[in-house]
Amino acid sequence: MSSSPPPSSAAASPSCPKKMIALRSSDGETFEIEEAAALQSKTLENMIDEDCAGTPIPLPNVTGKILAKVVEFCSKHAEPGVDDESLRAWDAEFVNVEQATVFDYILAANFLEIPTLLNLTCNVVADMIRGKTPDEIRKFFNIKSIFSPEEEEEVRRENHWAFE
Amino acid sequence: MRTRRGMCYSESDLCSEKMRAAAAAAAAKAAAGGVVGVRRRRRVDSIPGGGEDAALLRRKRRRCPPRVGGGGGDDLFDALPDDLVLSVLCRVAGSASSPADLVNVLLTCRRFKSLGLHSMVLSKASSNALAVRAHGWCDSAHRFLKLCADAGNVEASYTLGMIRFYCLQSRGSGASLMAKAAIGSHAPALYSLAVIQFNGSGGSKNDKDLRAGVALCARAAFLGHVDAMRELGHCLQDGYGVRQNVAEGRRFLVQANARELAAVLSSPSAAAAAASLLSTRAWLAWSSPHAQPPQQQQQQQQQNHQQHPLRHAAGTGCPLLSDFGCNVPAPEAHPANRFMAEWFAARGGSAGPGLRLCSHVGCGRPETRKHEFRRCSVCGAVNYCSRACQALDWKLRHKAECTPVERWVDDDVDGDGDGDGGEHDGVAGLNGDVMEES
Repeated sequence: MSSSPPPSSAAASPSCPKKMIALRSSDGETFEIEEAAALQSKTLENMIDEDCAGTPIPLPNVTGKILAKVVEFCSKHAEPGVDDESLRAWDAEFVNVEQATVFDYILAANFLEIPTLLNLTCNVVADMIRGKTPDEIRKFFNIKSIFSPEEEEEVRRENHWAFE
Repeated sequence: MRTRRGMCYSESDLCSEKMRAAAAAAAAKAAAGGVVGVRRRRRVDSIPGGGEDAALLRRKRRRCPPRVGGGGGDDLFDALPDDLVLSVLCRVAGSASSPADLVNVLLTCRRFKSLGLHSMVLSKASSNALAVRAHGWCDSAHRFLKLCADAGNVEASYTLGMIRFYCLQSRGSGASLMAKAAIGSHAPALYSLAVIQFNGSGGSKNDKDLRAGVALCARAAFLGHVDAMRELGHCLQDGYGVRQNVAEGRRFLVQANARELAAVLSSPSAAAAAASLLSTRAWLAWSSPHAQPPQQQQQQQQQNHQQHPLRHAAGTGCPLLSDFGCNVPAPEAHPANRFMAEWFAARGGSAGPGLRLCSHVGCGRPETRKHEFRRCSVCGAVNYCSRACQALDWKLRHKAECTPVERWVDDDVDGDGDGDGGEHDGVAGLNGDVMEES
């Protein structure tokens, strides 16, 4: 944007207007995110440090739908004065979505290097896995590549001690 | 800059990518001396990519086995590259509540199996994930623990070390595994090694090294291990392996009690149990609040309230200062101790001819030579591997059943009654806290 002030590498002081970074998703949607929130993402932080954040940053690996939510997540986590309890509750609500979306979050968090979101989403998937039998896991995640009968027998035999 | 794997892979690229990744993982596993000797008849995964073989793989992939579980959804994990699947599996391993939780993952599909056995995942396995039961012990379980230990899992090192040292009688390798865990600052490993040093386990009584035992105990105590603190406290009080310092010893004993109580109160299930314990026991030693005039009653109640969590049956002053602290429920045994208790119970309650077990049931340690453990000097009916076990068992159980018995002179004494056992000899404290060398 030619009208915006030259990007500064330091964090915005309270008296200045909040610096916004523009992000463009793979399907062409543009989103604005505060710099403080953008710093949650190491990828974006690097770009900001290197003064590349003047024009909208293209993110070819993230769709608009997911990017919107990710921006929401980062903004929430950059908010000052939110206590742990309510943040945790908010996080729980945030990942209360269908599985495919959680996986999309994981990929986005990995690409943008957002450790908090990555931790959160990986834990969610781990919770989905833990406690299920192999059949249940396969059905839940639609896992297609199964063992041949001989392999299955072998693996069961090798690990039967865990079920004693 | 790290390469990013996007989501925009075409189907064939994804296949070959996955095959390459699986092949790399399988190759790495094979190079590391892979545990599971699975002979795959269709060696799809183990051929590194390249030329004709890669083409063969792609053809095989298209001839995939029929889709199971409904044709609708896509395999969600297909979209994730291996490092993210590893991330997820690490968390599963770290929060598993039993070995089954982790093994169920391995049984799910080939990719999970090869990634699940990756050293990064195994190194994060929680102690519950490694809690092998004695009746389930077999070569496979042994291999699994070894694999985890080799991956750098200190819990596995410790557990396998204990099993090898005490149950399989393989002293050298057991001790070295425990040492590996100890170097990784694993407090129970440090404490177990201290017990071995104090008792000269696995060797003769001349192999005792009290100073080494104290040093190990001290390290474990500084990491917060309650039993080690108790042991260290007694050693300091008695000048056993270290210069005598009664005040310092007392301090450690008090700290051990405080820590034990804090641990109980901070754990939700144990706190509930403790609360019910405290509320049902009668008020002891302090005068009844009802017999007092109001302002004195308030003061008394304050005093009572302050001492409420610190009640002790002996009622002599603040129980934290007593050697045997507060009436807390028994701490949960470590899986390694539980394994040993089960192992020896299945073998008739003994480790061999004339070898006794530590009478504290949560410990499970056996003697490695005759008369290695110390006996309660009052009744002589129970014996313990360490002062800490003796203290804990006294408070949990033995206090109620210990009665002095007429004892005749032992004809099978270890032979150093007035050596380092001297200061413990004979004098039975009010709470029976003295042990003597049997």
